[in-house]
This record gives sequence, C-alpha cells and structure tokens, in this order.
Amino acid sequence: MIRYLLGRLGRLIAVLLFASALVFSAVYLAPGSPIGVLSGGRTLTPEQVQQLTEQYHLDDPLPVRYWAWLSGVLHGDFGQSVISRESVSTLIADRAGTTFLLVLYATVMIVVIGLSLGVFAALKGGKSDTAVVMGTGAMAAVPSFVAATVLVSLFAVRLAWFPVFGDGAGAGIVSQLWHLTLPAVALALAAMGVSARVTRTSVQQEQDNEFVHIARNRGLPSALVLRRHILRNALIPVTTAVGITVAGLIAGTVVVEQAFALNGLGTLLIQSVQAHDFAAVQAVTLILVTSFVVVNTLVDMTHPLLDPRLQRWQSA
Amino acid sequence: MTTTLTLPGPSWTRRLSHRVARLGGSMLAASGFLVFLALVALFAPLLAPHDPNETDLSAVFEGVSTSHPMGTDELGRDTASRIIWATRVSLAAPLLVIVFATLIGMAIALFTAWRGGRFDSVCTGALDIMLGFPGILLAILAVAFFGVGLAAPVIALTIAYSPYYARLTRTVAKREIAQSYVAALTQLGYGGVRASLLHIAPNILPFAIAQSAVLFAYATVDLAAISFLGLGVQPPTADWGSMVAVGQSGVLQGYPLPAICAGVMIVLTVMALNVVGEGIADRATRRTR
Repeated sequence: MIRYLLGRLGRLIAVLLFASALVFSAVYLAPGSPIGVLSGGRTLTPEQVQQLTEQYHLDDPLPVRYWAWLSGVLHGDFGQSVISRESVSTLIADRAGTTFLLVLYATVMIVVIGLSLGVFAALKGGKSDTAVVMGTGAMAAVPSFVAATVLVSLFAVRLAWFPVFGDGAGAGIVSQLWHLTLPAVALALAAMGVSARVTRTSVQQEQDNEFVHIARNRGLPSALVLRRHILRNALIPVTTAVGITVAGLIAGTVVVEQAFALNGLGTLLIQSVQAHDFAAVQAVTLILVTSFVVVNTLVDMTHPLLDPRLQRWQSA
Repeated sequence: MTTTLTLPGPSWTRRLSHRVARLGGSMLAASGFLVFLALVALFAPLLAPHDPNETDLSAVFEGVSTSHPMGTDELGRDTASRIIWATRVSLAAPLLVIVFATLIGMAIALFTAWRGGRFDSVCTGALDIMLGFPGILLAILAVAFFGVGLAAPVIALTIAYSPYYARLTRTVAKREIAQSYVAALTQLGYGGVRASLLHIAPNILPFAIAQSAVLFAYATVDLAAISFLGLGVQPPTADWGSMVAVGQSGVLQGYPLPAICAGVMIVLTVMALNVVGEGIADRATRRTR
C-alpha cells in the first residue's frame, strides 16, 4: 500500500518535471531570439532588455536558467507580465477562483445527474435504458463550445433566464453560481454522458452477481440491496472514471470561459497568447497541467482506499 | 468487336453489398455519413451553391430559403456554402493528426511490445509521463510560441496523441505477441520488423482502426476548439469551429442559425466516428473470441 502510494507520488513528480521543462523550453524552441520571443516582438528599452535578461537568467547556461525559473515558480514567482507590468501571480490569483468554482460546479452536475442517469438506466432497463444510452451517446459527442452556443441562444437570449456573459464575481455567491450555471452545463455535458454510460455498465454488471440475487430472494428491500450490495461495488470503477473525466474538465475550462467571456484562467491564457505575453502563458499552462496531474494522481490514490480487496492483494 | 471480361468468384459489387448488409443500422448510417462528408469535402466547389466568401450586406442574417438552404451570416455570406467548404479543413486537419499519430503510435507499441522486459517498462513509464500533458493545452502552447494557424496545433496534437495511441495499442500487441504463432515465426528466423509488419500488425489492425476512429473524433473536437478560440484557421478561410465562433455575434442578436449549423456538423461527425469506432472494436472482439 505504502509502496503503491509512493510510486504514484514519484510519477506525479516525474510528470510535473517533464511538464515544467516543456513549458520552460518552449521559449527556446520558438523561432527567434529568446528576448524577441519574450517581448512578443515589441521594441524594448535597454532597461527592459536588461530586466528580462535578469528575470530569465538569459546569460546563464540552460540548466541554470531552468533551475532559476523552477525555483521561482515553486515560490509562486512567475515573473512579470510584459503587457500589464503586473506580477503574473497577481493576475492568476485574481482569476483562479472563477475557474475553480466552474470546475467544482460542473463536477457536482456530473456526479448528481450523470450517475443518477446511469443507475436509472441500469435498474429500469428496457425502453428507458435504450433512451438513456442514445441520449448519453449524443451528449458525449457535443463539444463544450457547441453546447455553449445552443445554451446561450436558448436560455440567455431567447428565454432570458440566465445572463449571457460574465461571471457575476463580487455580487455574492448566489449571483456567481447563477452566472456560472450555463457555463458549467456546457463544460459538464459531454462528461455527464460519459459518466452515465460508465455507471450504467458498472451497475448492470454488479446486478447480475449471485449475491445480489440471493439478497433479493431473501426479501431484503430493493433500496437496501441497491445501496449496500450493488452501488458499493459498482461505484468503485465509476469513481475512477469520473475522477479522470473531472481532471479533463480543467483543460476544458479554457474553451468554456472563452465562450462565456468569464474572467478566469482560461481567458487569461487566450488573452496572453494573443498578446504574446509569454510569462503569463507559461504560468497558466503550468498551473492547469499541474491541477490536471494532481487530480489524476489523487484519483489513482483513492482507488485502493475505496476497494479494500486491492490492498490485500498488494500486500500479499 | 466486344470482349467480355468475367472475374472469378463473386463480383466486387456483390461482395461489397454483402458486407454492407452485415453492418448494423447505426453502423450503416454512421459510415454512410462519413462517406458523404468525404464526398462533400472532395466536391465542395461543385456542391456549394455560392462563393463561400461572397458578402452581401443587403442579405444579412436571412432565414432558410431555396437560394440559401441554411440562411446567411452576419456578412450575408451563404451558410451552406461556407459549411460545405469548411468540411475540407475540418476533416483534413484531424485526419493528418490521426494518420501520423497512428503510424507513430503503432511503431512505438509494436517495438516496445516486441522488445519487452525492462526496455518495455521504461518506455511505458515515459509514455505515461507524456500523457500528463493535455493535448489541447499543448496545442495552445504551440500556438503561443509558433504563431496562429492550424500547423502548430496539428503537430502538437500528433505529439500528444501518439503516446496515448501507443499505450492503447501496446496492450493488444502484447497479447498478440504472446500467441504461439509468433513463437513459431521466431523459430523460422523472422526478425521483429518482419514479423511485426507481415503478421502482428495485420492481425491487430481492426483494434488499431477502431482506436484511430475514436481518436479522430477527439482530434476533430480539439482542432475545432482551437479554431473556436481564434488560434486555428484564420479568416477568410473557415472551419466548423471558427464558424461557431464567428456566429456568436449572430447568437446574441437572435440569429443563431450559422453557429448552430456548424455546431451540428461537428456533433454529427463526432457521433459518426464514435459509432464506427465502437462498431469496429465490437466486431474485432467478437472475432477473437
């Protein structure tokens, strides 16, 4: 068990080192001199050149530069934006909350709606099952920005139930959630379809088990059989699948935030790409990748906790 | 003077119709749609009723009519013609990603599975590490440093998908290599490359094609998203993703038709690819059983 956890942790660190090296070296892989890349093709005063050279340790050999950059990053120092002259960490801190709330909201939707649909389809069978399978198959094929277009057009423009744009930050949590509802649905839709399908298959498999039939034939109430005998087993693979799907949402926020003009990390990333603000591009990319990898690792780590059988096998 | 040429066995049309008849309904519809899309892309100049970039400011946001079967957009351009032309880029870009990711992924999978041992586990570990970087973020990073356009995202997604493909295919390749006929091949003096190309690769091909189809769907969505973000195809050229983005102004004014038509094309393509991928995978599994 400890060995398993340590192994996952080791892999996490390896992935983060690889990702950070990639994000770091992009500056040097890009065509043109590093100063030219970092300034985004703007003409700089000698002082600004001096400042960039110092900030990125451009006079030092590459490994030294990487180490200096990485230790800065680990201390929360992502350098300075060439556009707004603000520190990148401030830019990020102002926006991370919106992105986090969006992912969280979408996750709740996936768990509540996706899993219920899956359980419903598996238990009910027949026509309801076919309907859910077809519906979720269609849901899984809808990219977030297409969902966003339909949702805005229907619920924001036509019916005006929800605001069109903006994140409602600073107007209380209720207003913020209300603003984030359509974005969260757009972000969650495809993942809901996938989660529902995984849940359906998993519950169907557990349902056929002998112990379930025995429990039913002994006259146990079906709600109890469902909760104690079917779901406890069925939800183990579902947790892993949903966890990985949620990790995938983190990169998906970039598209959804842009579609709804939310002021989150994704919008900052796209603005920075368009404005050639590379310190910010590096920082946001690294933060999103890190969150993705950390969530994946946490999912991996909870797997043996949820399924005690795995622990026994691994220690044996 | 006429010469008649008779082919031995059933004619290829009959064989084809037999094959088509064995496909299930959804599989038939999905592959039919994909063939239809390929034809649309190929014959776009003949099929498009209008010039896709011809603006007509007197006919902005028109509804469905015989002249404009999908209406017009915010510049009075014919939406149907734009959709038809956009089919080319929307399919060609992900196709490039999939062709290269399949070739690279297959090569890695066969090579590591054949070598086995420590080399295999080290390579698998390295692939796992590379999988830690989501494809769309790699594509955005590539655009940031190499400039807008589809070239950088296509290369970035190829790099992101290859390890994924290799990881999936390696498992199947490993199972195939464990079979006794492969041991017989080595006894006959077959090297890894010859055995892989002539025997192992053809045998795992159905699984490989199924994975390519599903990854094609992913690549279609990712590249459309890149164009939606304004980082991919640049105007006046359009793909479905950029059409959804450009259509946003219409959505806000209550004319969502251009954006929704483009969106529906993406959804239908993705669904068709998923159905075909799952169908091929099911068939392959049933055959090995």
